[in-house]
Amino acid sequence: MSSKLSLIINREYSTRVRKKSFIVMSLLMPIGMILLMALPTLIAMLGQTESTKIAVVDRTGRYAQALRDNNSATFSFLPPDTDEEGLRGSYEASGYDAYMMILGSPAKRDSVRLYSSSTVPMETVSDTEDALREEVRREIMNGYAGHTSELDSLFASVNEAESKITTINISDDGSESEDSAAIGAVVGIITAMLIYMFVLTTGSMVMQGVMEEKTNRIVEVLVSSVRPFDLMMGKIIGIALVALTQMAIWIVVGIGLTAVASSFLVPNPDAVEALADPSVAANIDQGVVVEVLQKLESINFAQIITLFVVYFLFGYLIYASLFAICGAAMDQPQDGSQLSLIVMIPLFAAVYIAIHTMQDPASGLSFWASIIPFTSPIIMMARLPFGVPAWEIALSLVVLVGTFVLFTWIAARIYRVGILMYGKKVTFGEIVKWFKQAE
Amino acid sequence: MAFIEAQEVVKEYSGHRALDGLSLSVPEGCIYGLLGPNGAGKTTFIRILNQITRPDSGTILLNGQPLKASDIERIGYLPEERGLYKKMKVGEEAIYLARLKGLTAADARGKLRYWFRKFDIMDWWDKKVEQLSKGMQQKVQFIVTVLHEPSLLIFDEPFSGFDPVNANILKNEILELKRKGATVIFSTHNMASVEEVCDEITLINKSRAVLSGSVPEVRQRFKDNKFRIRYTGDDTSLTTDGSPVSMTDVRQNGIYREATVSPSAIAADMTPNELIRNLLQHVELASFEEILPSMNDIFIKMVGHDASDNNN
Repeated sequence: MSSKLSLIINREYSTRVRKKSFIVMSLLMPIGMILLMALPTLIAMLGQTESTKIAVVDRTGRYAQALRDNNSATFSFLPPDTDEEGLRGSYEASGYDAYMMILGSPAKRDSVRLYSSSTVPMETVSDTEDALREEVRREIMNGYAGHTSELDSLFASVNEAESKITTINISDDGSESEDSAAIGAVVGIITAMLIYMFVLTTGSMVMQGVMEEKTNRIVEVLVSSVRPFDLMMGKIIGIALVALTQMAIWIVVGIGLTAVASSFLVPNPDAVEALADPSVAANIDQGVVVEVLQKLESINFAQIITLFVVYFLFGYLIYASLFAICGAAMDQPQDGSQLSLIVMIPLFAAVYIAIHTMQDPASGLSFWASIIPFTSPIIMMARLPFGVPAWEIALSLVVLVGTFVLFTWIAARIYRVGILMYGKKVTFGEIVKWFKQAE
Repeated sequence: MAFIEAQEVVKEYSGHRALDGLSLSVPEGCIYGLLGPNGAGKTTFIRILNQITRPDSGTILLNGQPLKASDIERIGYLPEERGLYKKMKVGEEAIYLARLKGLTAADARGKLRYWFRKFDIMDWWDKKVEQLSKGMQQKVQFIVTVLHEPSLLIFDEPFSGFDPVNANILKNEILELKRKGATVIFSTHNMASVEEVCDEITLINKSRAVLSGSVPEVRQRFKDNKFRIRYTGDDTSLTTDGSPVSMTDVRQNGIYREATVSPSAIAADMTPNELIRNLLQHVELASFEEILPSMNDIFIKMVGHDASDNNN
């Protein structure tokens, strides 16, 4: 890297991270985010007022007996041979909130399915799972009856016993979506929005910076010292580093705050024991928190974070080069709005597509939007927690990087001519002319 | 050998020829005026020297060598439209710009201290540029231009935006830089300053060099046999029709009368000596001085003529 390029990167970086607004944003954002993320959990914990009425069809005839009405759920047991299609059509009319099909041992995935058109509270699901787990344990112990010599392995099996309810959301049009995806959808939409926000704010920073140099007229002095390409790339890279620094601060502050917050949410067991009052302990339902944490664990965060950085960087680089063109085309700050709006339209569109993707990650629109480089950084993030085949990620990345190379080349040509053009009404045709003019 | 040698430089911008075969040569260590009306191609030529743009054809030699990328570190450029980062601190910004020209940070700081002391502006160091007045910013910009001690300085309309006091300081600094051996290219339409500081000029009009030479030589070339005289005595016979001397602008100044004289139409090829002889027959001469056209007159003569062509 030329020393001049690193000088430019350094200036772009250091003047920005020293700004008060940067420091304030770096500290306030994680607090806001944590509050936002904690809100659904808090509501789930505090907002539960009445128990969910669940119709149970136990095809095995063995596990339903474990279910007892409790604070979160009341169960009605229907005959084991009840027709599911009929039930699906009638359960709401019969006054149920949800119906549960027990098809096999709760220890097996997808054997217990909880259907509802509305979201079943997490507490209901975790209480029911707990009850079913007891039955699974009982079964295991029965299997060991008489073999007291194998007590150790018995204890181990009992401890490891699991039960899993697959909650399925029935939407109005009758289609089903697995509700355990809810957490994934939240993670997806949050990362997608973060990318959107970062690309938009850093992209505008690039535009502002280019415009500042042009309207200031310092650009003529600068390009008599450095190549315009270095000037443009120095700015783009410097601002990328600003964004990465901000992310790093957010992650560190976020982890710190989460640690503090969770020490309040998940009470210290000793403290609970010390209270020695079961009613106090019951108010704080650890089950919900554990459930959320379990679901979070099931998401591949290493992959999401890695791809987040990669998609942010290249998405940013593509948009930064477009924003640099806008900045170079502007004479006065107010000129740019129209041109930059055109650049932002795909970003805005991506947000709407991301909301769709959250509900239907496998649709054609979601697929194509995660390949097309103008939307892929945002949409791929929204899709990732639902699982995306490796070849789709690879294809999307290849298209993304290819577009980055192409756009940087185009932007450099336009930028070089544009920054020295004053007093011309900038039209699209004019920009094409600049592109051709650059040798 | 010429310090800068431009040969047949052509630059075209989408159909418009900004430079159409411009050739000029700038001797080392002189102040070289680049004159011409707006849009003549001066800025384009300067940008080519600064390697901001490349010529479509033609060559430019610096010290006998074709321009190369590293040459920009030997050039200091003060563009007509000036600017600095408004939010940066003065010292920090000057050092940054100097480092872009290849100085080390320590070197830049040392040189900057010298200039700030010289202009007595040390207390500006930690001020933001936007806190300075326009004139102060111009001073900073000038320092930034010369900080890396370039061997070629290019000033595009350097005096615009300076008040007379600062303009004078600037003029003296430019002359000082020349004394220290720098070659200065000076682009302007302020003809008075050209006569004051320039050694040589090239007048560019409509993308071509239309006039080149040293300032005294150019003025000689454009002189039209006019002389200013002071005299006493009776001048009536000189002012009548048929006199070989034409006399204008006559006025009394103290005990002397003053007038502008030139050979009249009937004796157009009269030499200055013959003119004096003619005058001596009638009046007592106290002084006789050749009137050289000002650069301003020459500029208007060369450019104004073309300008009226344009209107037809």
